[in-house]
Amino acid sequence: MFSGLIPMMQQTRRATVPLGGDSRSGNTESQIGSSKSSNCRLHLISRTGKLLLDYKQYKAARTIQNNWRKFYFRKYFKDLRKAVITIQRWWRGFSVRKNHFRYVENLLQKRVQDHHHRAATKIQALFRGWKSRRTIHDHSKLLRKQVCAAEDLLNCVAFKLHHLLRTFAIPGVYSLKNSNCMSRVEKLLASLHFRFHNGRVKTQLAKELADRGKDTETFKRSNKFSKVPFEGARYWSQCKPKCEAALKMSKNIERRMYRIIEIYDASQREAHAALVEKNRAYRKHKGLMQNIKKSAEKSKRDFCGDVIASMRRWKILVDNDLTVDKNIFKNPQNLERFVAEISQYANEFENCTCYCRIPVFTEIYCG
Amino acid sequence: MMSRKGNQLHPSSIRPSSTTPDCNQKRRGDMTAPPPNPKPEKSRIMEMHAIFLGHDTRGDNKISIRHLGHCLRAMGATPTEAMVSKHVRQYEASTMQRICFDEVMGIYSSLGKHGGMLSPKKKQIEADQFVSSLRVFDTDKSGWIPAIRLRRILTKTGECMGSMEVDELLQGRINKDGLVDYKKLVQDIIYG
Repeated sequence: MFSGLIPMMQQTRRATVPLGGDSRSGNTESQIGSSKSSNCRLHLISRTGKLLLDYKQYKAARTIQNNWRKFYFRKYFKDLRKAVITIQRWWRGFSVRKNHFRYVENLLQKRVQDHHHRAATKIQALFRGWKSRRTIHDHSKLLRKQVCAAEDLLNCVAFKLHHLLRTFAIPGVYSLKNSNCMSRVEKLLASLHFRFHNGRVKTQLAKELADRGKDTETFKRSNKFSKVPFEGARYWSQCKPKCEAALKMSKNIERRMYRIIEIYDASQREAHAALVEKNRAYRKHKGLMQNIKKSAEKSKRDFCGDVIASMRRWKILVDNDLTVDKNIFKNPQNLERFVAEISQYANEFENCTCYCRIPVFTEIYCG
Repeated sequence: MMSRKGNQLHPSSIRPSSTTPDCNQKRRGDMTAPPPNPKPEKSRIMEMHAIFLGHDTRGDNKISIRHLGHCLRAMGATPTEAMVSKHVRQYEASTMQRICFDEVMGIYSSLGKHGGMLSPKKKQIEADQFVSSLRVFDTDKSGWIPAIRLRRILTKTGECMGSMEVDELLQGRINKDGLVDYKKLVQDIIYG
C-alpha cells in the first residue's frame, strides 16, 4: 500500500530543488520512466490531494490494525482462561475421587470417637454425683434429721402438757366445758400414745443395737487403716431423743383417759359413716342423671322420623284408619306401596281449589 | 474446602466485538445447555447412592448444598466451579439448605460432557483437549512446563485453586530442573 509513495516523494523532492539541479534529472533511463508515470499522475492529483489521500490511508491502516489486535488478544485470553479452567476442573474431580476413601475413614473414626466420648461423659457424670454426695454435702440426710427433730418436739410438748393436766397442776382448759369435743393436744395424745408406743420402743432398741455394732466394727478396723478423704462430722446420728422418760410415766391410765379414747373412737366411726352415706347419695344422684340422659336420647328423632310422625297426623289417614309403618323410608318398595295405597284417596281432591273440605248441605233452610 | 473464587466472567457478560453472524451463532451455541447424558444402569445408580449417603453427615438422607461439588466429583463427574456454584446459588436463593438424591441425580445428568464415566473414545478426546489446554502454556513446545509457571497459572487465573491443592497436584511430578512433564500428568489424571 505504500509502494506508490516512493515515486511521489522523489517527484516532490525534485520539484522543490531549484533549477540549478537540472543535471541530475537525466541520470538514468529508469528514473526517466518513473518520472514520466509520476508526471502523468501529477497531472491528475494535486499536491494537497496527495497529502489527504496519504492521511486517509494511514487512518484506514490504523483502524484495521486496532480491530485485529482487539480480536486477536481477546480470543487469546479467552482461550487461555478456558484452558486453565479445564486443568482445574479435571484436577478437582480427580482429587476428590482419590481422597474419597480417606474421607470415609476419617468420618468413621470421628463417629467412633464421638460414641466413646458420649459414653465416657455419662460415666463421669455419674461418678461426680456419687462423689459429691458422699464427701461434700448430703442434703437428703439433713432433711431426715429435720423431720425427726420436729417429730420429737411435738411428742415432747404433748407428753409434758399431759403430765401437768393429769396431776391437776393446770385446769382442763384444753377441752370445752360440758361438751364431748376434745382439744387438739388431747387428740394428739390419744393418737400418738397407743398407736406408736410399741413400734417406737422397738425401733429405738433396734437402732441402739445397730449403732453399737457399727461403732464396734469401726473401732476394730481403725487399727489397720483410716478413711481418705475424711467424710466430715457425723452429726446426723449422734443425737438421741430426750423424751423417753415421759413415755415410761404413761403406763397407768386413768378413767378419764379411757373416756377420752372411747369418745375419739366413736367420733372416728361417725366420720366413716358420714363418708359412706355421702358416697351413697352421690351414686343415687348419678343414677338419676343417667336415666334422664337416656330418656332424652331415646326421644330424639331424625328427619325421616319427623316426617313419619307428621304423616300419622294426616286427616286422610285418620278418617280411613290407615297406619304408617316405622321403616317406610328404609326401603323404596315400602314407600311405593304406601303411595299406591294412598293415591286413590288423594284423587278426590284433584278438583278442589282449597286445602280444607267444605261441608255440603243437601237442603237449604230459609228462616 | 471450597477454593477461593477468582474473577469469574460469565460468558453472557462479554459483548460480541463484531457483528459477524458466525461469531454470534457460535457464542449463542456456547450458552445453551448441553444435552443430558443417557441414564446409567441400576448398579451404577446404587453405587452413586452409596457415595451420596457417605456425604450425609446428619442422617436424613440428604446432603448440604455446600458439599454438592464434592459429591458430584466423587460420583465421577468433573464439573467446573461455575456450574457447581450456579446450582448452589439457585438452591440458596430458594432457601433450601439440604437436597435429596433425586435432585443430585438431576444435576448430575445435566452436566453434559463434564459428567459421567466416559467411554474410552470420549476419554481419549478429553485427554487430547486437556493436553491442548496445557500446551497453550508451553511456549517453546518442548513438552515441559516450569513448575513455578504452572503453580502461578493455577492459583491466579481461571477458577483459582488453593496453594495446598497445587502442592498436591505437583507432588512427585517435578524433575530436578524444576520442570513438569504435562503429558504424563494428563495420563495420570484421566486414566489413573
